[in-house]
Amino acid sequence: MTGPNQGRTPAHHEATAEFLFLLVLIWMVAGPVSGAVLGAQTWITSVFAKGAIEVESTKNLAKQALQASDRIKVLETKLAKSELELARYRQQSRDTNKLRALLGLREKSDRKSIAAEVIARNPDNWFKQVVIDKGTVDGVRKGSAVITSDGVVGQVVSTTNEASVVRLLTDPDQKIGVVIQRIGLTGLLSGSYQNPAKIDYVPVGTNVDAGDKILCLGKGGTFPEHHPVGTVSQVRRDNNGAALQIEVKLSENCYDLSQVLVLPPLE
Amino acid sequence: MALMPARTQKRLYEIGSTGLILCFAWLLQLTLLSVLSLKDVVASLPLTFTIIWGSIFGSPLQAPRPDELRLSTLGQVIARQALSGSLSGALVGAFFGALYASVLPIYPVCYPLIGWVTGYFCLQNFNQATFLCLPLVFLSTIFSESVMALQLHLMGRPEVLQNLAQVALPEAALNSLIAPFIFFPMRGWYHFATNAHESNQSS
Repeated sequence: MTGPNQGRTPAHHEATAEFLFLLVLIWMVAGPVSGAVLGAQTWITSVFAKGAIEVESTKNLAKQALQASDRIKVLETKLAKSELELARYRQQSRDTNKLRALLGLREKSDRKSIAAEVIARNPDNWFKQVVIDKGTVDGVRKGSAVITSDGVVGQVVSTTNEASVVRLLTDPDQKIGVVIQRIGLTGLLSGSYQNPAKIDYVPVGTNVDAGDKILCLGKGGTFPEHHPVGTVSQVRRDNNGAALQIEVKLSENCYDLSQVLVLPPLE
Repeated sequence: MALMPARTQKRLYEIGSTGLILCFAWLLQLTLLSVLSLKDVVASLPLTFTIIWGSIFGSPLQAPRPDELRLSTLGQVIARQALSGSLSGALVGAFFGALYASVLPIYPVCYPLIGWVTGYFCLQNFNQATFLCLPLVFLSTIFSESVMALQLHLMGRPEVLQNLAQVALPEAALNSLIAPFIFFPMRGWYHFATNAHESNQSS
């Protein structure tokens, strides 16, 4: 009994040792290999991902560059057109000045202006007036137009040596000739206290819309020609329905004035 | 100062201090109260000041005694009432009216008038009743705004009567809001002045 037992036992042990050896070998080789494989896989994946992103961004950049060049082309065309137009206008303005000189009219551009500061607002509720710090000594005269860069403010109604009273466009006594820019229709704008200013007696059927720009007519030599006054805020029939009444939102907020420009009337 | 008698000195001192207070009130109106507005209508400190001044300092005329009233005719009563306005109130109103840089002279007419008229409410010792100062200022403001609107209307300014309500009601409300701030100090001043006067006379 011992013979086969003795013969079997070393073989059995051998097989077990071989199995263990194989296991260790597999463990020793497969561990690093699998790590390397994982690392390589990660690296390759990241390379591909980066590449994809880079390709994508390059594509975008190229697209943007193409778009920009398109835009530049459009703008250049526009600029060229504008320059042509400007040259034409310059020529026309020279012609106009020449013709005006020929006709003995005064040139429009050289108009004296006096910068002034608003020093007081009359603290009452009936007159919409402010006091400015320039008077007859500085060349302000009764009837001078008062403007800011945003729009027309009002008119000088009384002067002293060192100060003047300006009647604002919101005063119902203040009237100003205006033109609706889009259709070229003229009208008379009058103030109405804190309510929007009005243009009365506009013929029914006039094609005027909310948002149309109202400019100064300025043919009388007092107010500057085509200086902004406001925008149309509402159009409605007047009381008896025979004409339109246009409400105008003034472009210069007459409640908050500080620096103004006084333009004495032309001789 | 020895050139003037003491009484003239005292009178000058009174007039000078009043002038200073009026100028201070005007400055307050220009700086502070122009910001206090309701629907773009500002409170009018000069008007409130004139109204309260007229109603506190009142008229130098004595109030009629009952038997005097019984003897006089209706015409005499009306004449007496018309004459019993406040002269100092009218002067204060004229001072403020002169300060407005208005092109149409409506303030120099209306403010003295309102100062004079509020003097009528002094004879009945209304100024002792504090709660009456608010309705008095409210109604007087509406009255003075109506007078101004009438003047402007007669001078041919457009849209005056339509705007009267828009201007008068908010202004009256704001004026009655600031009225107590003027009423109490001024009543204190009045008591101080009359007490000093009486003690002067008794001594």
